[in-house]
Amino acid sequence: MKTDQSIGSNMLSAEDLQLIEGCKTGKRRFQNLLYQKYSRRMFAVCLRYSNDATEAEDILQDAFIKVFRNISTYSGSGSFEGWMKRIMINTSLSQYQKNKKKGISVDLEVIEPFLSDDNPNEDQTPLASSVSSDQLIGLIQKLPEGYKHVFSMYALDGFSHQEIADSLNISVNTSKSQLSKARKYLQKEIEKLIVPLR
Amino acid sequence: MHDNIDQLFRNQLESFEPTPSPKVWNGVSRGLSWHEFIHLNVTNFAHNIYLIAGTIATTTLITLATIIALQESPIVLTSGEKNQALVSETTTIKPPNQATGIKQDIPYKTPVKEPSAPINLRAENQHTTIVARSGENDAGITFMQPIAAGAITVKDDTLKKSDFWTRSWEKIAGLDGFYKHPGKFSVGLSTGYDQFTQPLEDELKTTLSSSTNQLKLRYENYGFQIETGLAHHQWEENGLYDATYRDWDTIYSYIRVDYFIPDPTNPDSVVLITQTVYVYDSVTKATTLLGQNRYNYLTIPLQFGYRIADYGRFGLTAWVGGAISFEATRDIGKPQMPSGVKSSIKYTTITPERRSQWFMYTAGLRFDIMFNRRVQLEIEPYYRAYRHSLYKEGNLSSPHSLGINAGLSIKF
Repeated sequence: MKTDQSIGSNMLSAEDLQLIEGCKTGKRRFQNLLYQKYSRRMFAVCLRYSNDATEAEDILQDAFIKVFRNISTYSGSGSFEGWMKRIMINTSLSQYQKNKKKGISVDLEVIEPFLSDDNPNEDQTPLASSVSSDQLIGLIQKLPEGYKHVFSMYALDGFSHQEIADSLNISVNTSKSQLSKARKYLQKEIEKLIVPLR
Repeated sequence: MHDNIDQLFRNQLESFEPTPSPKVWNGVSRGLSWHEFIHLNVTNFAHNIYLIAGTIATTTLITLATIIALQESPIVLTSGEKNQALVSETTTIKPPNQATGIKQDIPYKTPVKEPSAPINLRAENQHTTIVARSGENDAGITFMQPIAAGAITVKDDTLKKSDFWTRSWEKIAGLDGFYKHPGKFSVGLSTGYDQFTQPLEDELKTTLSSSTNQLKLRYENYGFQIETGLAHHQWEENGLYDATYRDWDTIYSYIRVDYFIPDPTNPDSVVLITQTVYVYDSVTKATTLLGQNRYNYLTIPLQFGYRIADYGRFGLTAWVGGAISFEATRDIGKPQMPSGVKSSIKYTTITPERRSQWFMYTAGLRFDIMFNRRVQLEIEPYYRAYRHSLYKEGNLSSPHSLGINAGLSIKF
């Protein structure tokens, strides 16, 4: 597993140290300042693990409450942003497990039609950076739950397949397979977006 | 290709920072407030000291009041109890001279009821027979005298098990024979918790919790009440400062070629051995500093109530009123310096100036439980609407608060 340092800077600024110490005393003003500083970055993480902005905001809210309740357990040795990010991801995964129990998930068939291997340009399609961040987030959100998590965890947050398998309660091979399918799906969708630009 | 996809997402999303809606912070703040309400924050002992002290004082008072109440409980005869309610009091009368011709006082015993507690025979008297015998003293005066302790015979043959709960409740509620002190004035002490919410700009809110201690003076007549007193509450808030300070930092870096060696894989080129050199200088940095401010307020309430329910020992009063609050003291803490910065720091406060005088409208309910004739426990949930915002400047909406007080009062 990549450590917290891999997903955030290990350097704690004087301002961060002060905010963390203030939050440990439970002062709302410190909590608000910390929230103002990190909420946008953390919201981007939540968006990747949710189906839409409303669900992402719910996850962000729950996760920040967990951050403030458990901030006294933060040792200060690792990256604080990384520590917060792990809480965001864990909260998202808990939400995913709840949705799974309720039966809220997109079926695999939704993306199967996109996964045929008849793409002649698979290895040479140029990827345009003109695709906006909002569009990319939208594409991730369109992925079925499991695929979305595997892709975000592996490609963006640096988790290994073994860690993903343990977190999502799936096999390593399933994780690899879902990652591959997610990539193919995203590739197809990005091509659709950049075609009008050619 | 796979790396391309991954790289594209990484690059594009690295600086992606969308703004969540303001309701998220409100939800976080609300969630934390509830958590703090049900879990005392042990790391902030100073803030809770009043609440803890008040709780200990209230618990002690309740214990004492309970002991007193047990000693002063009305006497209710139950099956098997002997005649304790009837006691004898020795009095002296002067018999008529013509009856005996003896000029002396003749002591005799008259059955009287204990003045401080009424006899309650209602539940049993249908099966109770008071048997008395007539007697005659030396003077020839006939009077009634209880024959002995135990002269009251109680038959309990019709008492059913199902009556137990009814009878117990009646006893607890004091419906049988409990009566309150007729005094109209009462004095009380209470302690409580207040959750204050100040709406800010952009739909944000700030919440402040405070502990409250209050002295109450009340007059009650025919269920109508008027109350005043003096309350104290303390608020802690973080002062905010904009600060600049001098610090050493990297201003730029460059790559220095130290030496080169022939490239073993390509005889036509060389490998440069380089080193990155960082150049430091004293620079001015900006930061935000925080300090802890403490405010003490004194509040004088004036409220009017009406006792809307009265059930033995229990009562419920609805009340409304107003209160004026004055800032008594303020302790502005120094900002905490960032670690490593010892000097050449300049800071200016950006904390808005607080209002030093407030007026508020209040409404609430009071549940009271009489422990004995004089002492009652009171629990008061309330709502407060403030006329002005927390700060002197700006056009912020008026704040409000929810709170609960608990304490004891004594009738006079």
